[in-house]
Amino acid sequence: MEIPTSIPALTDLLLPLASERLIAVYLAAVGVLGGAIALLAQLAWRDVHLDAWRRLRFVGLVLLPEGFCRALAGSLFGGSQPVVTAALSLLDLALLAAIALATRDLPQGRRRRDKVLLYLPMLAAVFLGLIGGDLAQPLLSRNLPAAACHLLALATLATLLLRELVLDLRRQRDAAEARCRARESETIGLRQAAAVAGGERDEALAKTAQSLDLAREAGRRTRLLEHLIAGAVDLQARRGQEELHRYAVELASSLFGFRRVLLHQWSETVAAFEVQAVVGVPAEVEQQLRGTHTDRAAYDQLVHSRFRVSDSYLVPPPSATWPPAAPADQVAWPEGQRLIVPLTDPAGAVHGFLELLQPESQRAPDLLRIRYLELLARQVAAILEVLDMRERLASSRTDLALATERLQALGDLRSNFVANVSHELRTPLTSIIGYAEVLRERGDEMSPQIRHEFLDVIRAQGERFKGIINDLLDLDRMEDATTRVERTECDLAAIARRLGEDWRQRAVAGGCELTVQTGAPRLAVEADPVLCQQLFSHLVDNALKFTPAGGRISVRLGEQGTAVRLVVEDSGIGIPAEKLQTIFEQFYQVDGSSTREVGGQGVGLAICQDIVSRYDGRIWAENVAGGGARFTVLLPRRPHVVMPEPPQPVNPNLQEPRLFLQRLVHWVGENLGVRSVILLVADRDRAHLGVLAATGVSAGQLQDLRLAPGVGLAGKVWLEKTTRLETPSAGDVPLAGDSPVLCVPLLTESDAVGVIAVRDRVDGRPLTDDDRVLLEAVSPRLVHLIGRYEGHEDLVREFAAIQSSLRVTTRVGTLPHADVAGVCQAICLATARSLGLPESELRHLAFALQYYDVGLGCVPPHLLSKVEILTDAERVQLERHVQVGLVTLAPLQPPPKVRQIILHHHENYDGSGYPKGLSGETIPVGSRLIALTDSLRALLQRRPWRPAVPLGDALAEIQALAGTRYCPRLTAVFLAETEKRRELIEDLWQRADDGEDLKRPAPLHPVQLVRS
Amino acid sequence: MRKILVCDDDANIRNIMEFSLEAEGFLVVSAADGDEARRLAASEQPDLVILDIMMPGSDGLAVCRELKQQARTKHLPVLLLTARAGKKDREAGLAAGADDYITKPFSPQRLVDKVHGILGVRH
Repeated sequence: MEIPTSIPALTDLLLPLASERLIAVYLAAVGVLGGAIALLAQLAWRDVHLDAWRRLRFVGLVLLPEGFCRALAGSLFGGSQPVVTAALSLLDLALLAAIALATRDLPQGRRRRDKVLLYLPMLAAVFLGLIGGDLAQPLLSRNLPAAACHLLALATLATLLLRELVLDLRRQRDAAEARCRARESETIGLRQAAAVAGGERDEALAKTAQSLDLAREAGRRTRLLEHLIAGAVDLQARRGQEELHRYAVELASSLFGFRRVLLHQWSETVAAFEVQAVVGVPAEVEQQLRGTHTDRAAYDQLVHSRFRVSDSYLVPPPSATWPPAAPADQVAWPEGQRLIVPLTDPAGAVHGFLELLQPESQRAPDLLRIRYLELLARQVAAILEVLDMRERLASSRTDLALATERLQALGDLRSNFVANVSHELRTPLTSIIGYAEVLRERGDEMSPQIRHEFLDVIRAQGERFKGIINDLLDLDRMEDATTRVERTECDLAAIARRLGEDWRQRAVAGGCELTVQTGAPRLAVEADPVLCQQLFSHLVDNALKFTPAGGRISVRLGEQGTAVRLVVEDSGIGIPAEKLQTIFEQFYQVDGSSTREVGGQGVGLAICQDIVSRYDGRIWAENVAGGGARFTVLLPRRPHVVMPEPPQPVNPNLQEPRLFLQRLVHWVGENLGVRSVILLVADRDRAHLGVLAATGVSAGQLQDLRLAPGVGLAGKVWLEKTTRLETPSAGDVPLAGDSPVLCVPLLTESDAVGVIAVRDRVDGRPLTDDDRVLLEAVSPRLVHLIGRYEGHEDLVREFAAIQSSLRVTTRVGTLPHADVAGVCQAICLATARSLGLPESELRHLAFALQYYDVGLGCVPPHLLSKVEILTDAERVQLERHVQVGLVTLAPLQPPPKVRQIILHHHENYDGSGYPKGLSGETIPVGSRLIALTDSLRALLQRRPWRPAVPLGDALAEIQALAGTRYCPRLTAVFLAETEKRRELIEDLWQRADDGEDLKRPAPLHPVQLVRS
Repeated sequence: MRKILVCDDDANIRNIMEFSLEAEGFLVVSAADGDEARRLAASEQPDLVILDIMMPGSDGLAVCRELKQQARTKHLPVLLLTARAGKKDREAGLAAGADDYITKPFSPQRLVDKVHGILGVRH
């Protein structure tokens, strides 16, 4: 090999600078160092699968032979050409550094190719270093053995390195192959398993799907049951019926997937099923639906046995064919089909029913679901019963507590009474005995004047004694229920005039002033004059007793509507507010202690109460501003009732039949406000009409009167079964007269059983269509009552109930001005007419208008006249009058619609009223109308807590409450109708001359216009 | 002369008692109600008080109790007039400190005898 000439020249230049041996050592050191650096550089970043031992072995394998060979070469041949060696060694170093730099940033975990790249430069560096450093020198110096040695070393090194490299690569390959094989066999296994699994899977999938369906269904049912149970438990927690209703329909709807659910509950008041809760309809429809009725007959049609599924009924729409071709749970749900689930209690009584419509699935529910629904229904029924019982229990508990309290009070009163009576009797007796004895012992010593005085005392005290005994006898008589009620014409004005002088004298004796105003020259009522006299005396005695010297007593008589009013007012100590209610009770005297301010055994007022109620009147007490008490008595001016043939009661002691007919005739007269009522009924074979009872006609005409069908006005009406309003012809006995007669047939379903005729309104106005509507409304009741009358022998108790009901309903109202009430009623009916209500509704309304506030008669008068704001308890008591009224009316069996109207007449449009809190259109139209009527009437009349309100203000007040209290739609019509009668009302208001009644000034408290 | 205080709300009874007692030589002071009786018992210093039980103002029993509690009047014998003849009423009267009672109606002579009896025992 040719060596460039320039290099020897350079070598020659540098050679003399050092000994040959030093250079050799240096070169050897550079060689070792270079190799080591190269290796270390490799090791520093080499890959991870060389573990520590293998690295060490590798280093040793490389370094030991190489170092050995190098040392052998050095020692054998010594160094030469040091300059060339040094230069090449420097190049060697530079290359190594370059390799280190080039490979420094290689990422770890590199692939095989990277490893080769790594080894090759390293080998190249080592070779170059060795060749450059060691081999070059012997070659240059032609030292062949040394060169051979170096070559050997190199070869060894290279072989070792390559072998290592190959081994490493082979190991890696083997490992990869092994992994490959393992994976392959794994794949095969998997593939086989997959094949097996595939088959199984298909099979299992099918099964799973099946059982999943089952499980899902079971789950659904379980959940349904769970919800049902949870719901049932929740149901128990519902406080009131309303909440329960609401919750029950929601539960039925959500659990069983019906879009629309209605709950109907039996209501005794209306004798029908009443919708209590609805779900799934818009609010306005809900309001319409709520309160609608299904009577027993309609219900029985619904639950026809052919619709029966389990205990429920799948009622198809009217048009559908029945029975369906497929079983119930297979059929689609026709539009309009209903599922009726009765609310049955454990005893089997049906309290109502659930009506379910529009299932979400559009299919009939399966039997199981229907059974679940029945479960729910039973639960609801049971809870409803519990609630009902709880309510009844609560009320009976209150009643019981009240009764106990009253019994106790009565006991106290009785013992007080005994003490009082004892004292009252002994006091005059003491004087009588004492004076008589002294007269006997010392009469001779006395002057005649003193003797006379003594005798006067004895006589006066004897009179006093007699008076007390009479009172006691009255009381006894009062307790005797069979006392005959004497009715002759009795002029109260005359009584007042006759007794007035005596009263005045007694008042003067007590230092008081007493005035009597009789109002009219003659004020006659049908009553017993002796009782009337007693009534006067007790009231005046009472006033005299409680008025201290210097006080004033005024006795005023006057007319009020059809009644006569007696007012006895004193300026005495007044009556404690809490006693206003009890003073009319027997034995009662306000101050029951032995510290008695005044005499009297406390029976006077009880006797008054008894007398007044005998004649269907009213008596009440109130305190007058500035001290003193006012007692007011209203005695109705009932016309005498003529009964041609006295009916023959089974028990001759019973007064009821005659009283009953009297009341019946009075009832019609009072309701219609007419003077004359003639009740004619057909005889048994329906051949003739005869008069049963009549007022305002002379008895002689009626006896033995028998009218054939078609004869006279009554006969025509009886024959034609249509109402007539006309003036009868001259010979028309018993109706002949010069005023028109309103004659209405009394119809049963198949027959006309009689005729009722009325004439001559008390207020002098002509009979109108309103009267016709009312009489027609009342006539079915009359038929019913006459039927009862004929069968009364078996029904004495029921009979008594009817009678007391009639009595209450004809009791003179507390309303100071019947005229105002009459106008308000007329407005109400006119409003109903212009709203286009059908005739039947008008009748119901007319009927309800007569009776809606009958219950007020049972509210203690002191509550009605209480000036202060009512307490909660009092309010509850007052609000109960609605139900009380319905109970009172029950024996008259008013139609359900009438009961509805009465029941809801205190509901407010916004739902804030009572008793049900209905709102908006759910309140029956009649009730809404009566609410308006009642308010107008109340506003136009004085109330104890405010004076009467002028019409303008009253209308403004009503207008202001339209939408909250009143129905806005009806209010507008009502106000318009009121406007039409403005003159009439203002006239009435102006004519209300009796200041204390209508326009009593300045109330003590801020004005409350309408008590809510 | 013995002084007797008579108290009853009924004027006739008061008069007949006055009449009978005066005829027996007693000096009679009369009161129409309990308050007056109390006042007169203190001011007039009578020898005996006759009290009706049922009276306006404070009743006879209360007056009796009060008289028997006060130092100035507690020595005074009290005769109660009662319209209540029950045992209970009698006991109530004696419990109030009355020395005797007489039931209405009574004969004036019997009243006089009772008065003599009470005053005789004391003196």
